[in-house]
Amino acid sequence: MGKTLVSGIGAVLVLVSSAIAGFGHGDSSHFLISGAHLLEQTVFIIEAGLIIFLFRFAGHFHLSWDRISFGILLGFGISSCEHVATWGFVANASPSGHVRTLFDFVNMATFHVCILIWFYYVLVPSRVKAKSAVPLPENNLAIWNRELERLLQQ
Amino acid sequence: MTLAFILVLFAAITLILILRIAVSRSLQLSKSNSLSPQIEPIDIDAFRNLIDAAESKYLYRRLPPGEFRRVQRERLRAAAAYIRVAGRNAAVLVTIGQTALTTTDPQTAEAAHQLIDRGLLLRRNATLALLRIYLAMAWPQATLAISPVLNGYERLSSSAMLLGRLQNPAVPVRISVRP
Repeated sequence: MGKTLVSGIGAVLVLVSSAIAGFGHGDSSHFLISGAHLLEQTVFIIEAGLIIFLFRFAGHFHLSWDRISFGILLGFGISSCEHVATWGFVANASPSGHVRTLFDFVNMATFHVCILIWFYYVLVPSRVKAKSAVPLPENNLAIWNRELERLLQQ
Repeated sequence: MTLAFILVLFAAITLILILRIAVSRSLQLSKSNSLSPQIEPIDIDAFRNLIDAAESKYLYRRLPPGEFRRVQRERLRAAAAYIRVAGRNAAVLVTIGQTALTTTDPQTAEAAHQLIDRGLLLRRNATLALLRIYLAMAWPQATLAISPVLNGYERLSSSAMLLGRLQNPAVPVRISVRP
């Protein structure tokens, strides 16, 4: 089910991001440059959409993440959101050269912050808690025995 | 320009969602030991009665159409409430199962795996059943196929009992109510 859903959501995201790119007018007279910017925007919309879907899917089913997977996905999530914003702005708002330079710095700064996040999740060990088995709810023994008998009779 | 602002807004909302999930994950880790009180026992017989097709057919024959639709909607609303509780219980049991996976005892680990599988299946079936119920509320019909939720819940209950028994043989475990 998970694989089918991810494939389905991926296909929907490709269609939606392509449609968004279709509405964009491009920021440069040279088709290669404006095309590359629109492609960046499209790729990061798909990435951000898939990451938010994965988080929602795991949240709905209460699936727990292992530390490294969570850290990697968190870093990619932050990076892709920032890139959607900057490439979306660059590709559709035709900003000045100064603003573009600023966006380059923002992109690189975000990427370095994400690298620090990945370092943290990979290198810093998680706090080891004294783990006790989570107790399941209790009830009285007579009901428990009756339930067990019913199961055995099935 | 409008498209640029829409994309920036989309990115900001997505970033907030991701950060919220990251924060809620760390909160969940710190309170994972207080999971069992979150489980609400379900009256299985009352639930079975609500989704019984024979009962619905009987009401369909006995009541005038308008009255039947009203009663059936009430029953569907009650069934939806039961299914929501079953789904929530399944989610809590999945978390409990994941915690139990760290055990060194292979039998307990196997029981935990079974509990997780059944919990996930029930959670999926509960979501689908809720969709069917909301559709059926618009057009109440005599039969509604939501018995997989009930059967799944009973299987989940038995898995939870098995895991609870293996983890702590002295404490009985139930997540449903039978008189």
